[in-house]
Amino acid sequence: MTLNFATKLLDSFLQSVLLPLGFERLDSLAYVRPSSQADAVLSFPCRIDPRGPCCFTCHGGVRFDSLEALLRSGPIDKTRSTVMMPIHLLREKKSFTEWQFQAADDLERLRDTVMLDLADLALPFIERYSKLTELRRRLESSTPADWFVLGPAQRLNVLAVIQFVQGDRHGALKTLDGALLKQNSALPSKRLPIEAVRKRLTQAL
Amino acid sequence: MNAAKKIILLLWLVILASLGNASALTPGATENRIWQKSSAPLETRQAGPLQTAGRHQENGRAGYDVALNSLLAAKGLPWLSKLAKCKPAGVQANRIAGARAVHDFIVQAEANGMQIVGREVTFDTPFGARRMDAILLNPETSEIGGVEIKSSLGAFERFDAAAQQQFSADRWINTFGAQGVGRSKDIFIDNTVKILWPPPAP
Repeated sequence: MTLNFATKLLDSFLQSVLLPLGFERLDSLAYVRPSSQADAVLSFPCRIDPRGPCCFTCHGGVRFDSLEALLRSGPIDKTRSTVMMPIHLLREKKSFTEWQFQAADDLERLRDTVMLDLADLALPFIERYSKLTELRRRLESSTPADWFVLGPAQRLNVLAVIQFVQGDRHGALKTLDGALLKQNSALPSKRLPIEAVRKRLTQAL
Repeated sequence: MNAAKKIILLLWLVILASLGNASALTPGATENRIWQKSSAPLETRQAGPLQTAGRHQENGRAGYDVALNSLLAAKGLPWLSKLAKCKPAGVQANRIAGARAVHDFIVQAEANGMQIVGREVTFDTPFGARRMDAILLNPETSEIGGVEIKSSLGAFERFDAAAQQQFSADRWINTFGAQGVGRSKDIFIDNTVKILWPPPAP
């Protein structure tokens, strides 16, 4: 099975699962629907295992247009989440798992499992963090395990932009300046993302 | 008596010669090695020569199949030669070995408190797309990095043109970071490591 063929099979299967739930297909294996103050984004990375089957998983994310405009430059991509979680990290055990299929029949057998996981894990996560206050509360936690799968710099960027859109504009710049001061001698990879967001916030002042 | 000895010697030589031919067809004594996982910390080398998309886990053709086919054909055993062609190609076998190594590494990493964000995630760099075997998250620090797993020493030490390109891509990611592409576009990493897994026996 080629990746292209597997992607088409999977996409067709996911449409039958997600369209009844109100999701719209925006791209191959990427689905979006409005949710509270944000957009719910479901994406399904897949790969062909050398042993034969196609393995796929799900990323559940929320996208705040107001935050994205300040977080990123370039063309708007509605399938890009502001924060996301791979579905296996929403399980209690958190160990990496993927669904596997070799043919369309296998996907049909997976239907109930996939729907159950979406209903029990991905959709409640999306529902909860579609509210800006809830997202901010979690990102303000001092426990790194609470920062979704954002690195320290990305987490500070999102946090600062939330402060900015909620009216604390100088507080937002202060957050970023504090981070830049700490990363004074760090590699560009640690500083550049923060500097880029700071520049956009300054322009938006 | 001398004539009888000569005949016996000649027969013996013929038997020896035929044994020699047979031994060329039969595999040598199988070597059984058991990997002992070391409790020592993993060796991590920053920015080693890595691989680009499309060359993933292709650990080089050893020419094994070709050599075996030629040998069998030369021995007048074309049916065995055809049978040998049915075996998985060296590249595919290497890919399977690579996939097994990645799976085993993931199990070990999770057992040691790390989390896996994704597998076979591709990142954009000025040197081309760079696909990492696994994306690791340390839940205690929230640091995220890409891991490249090599299942053989040959693959680990390779430094041909493709590997040099991968090396450059990894240096780029380690210095400037990179954003995932495709369905993993929400993943950002700023470090990569290349490891040999399973670790070689001491």
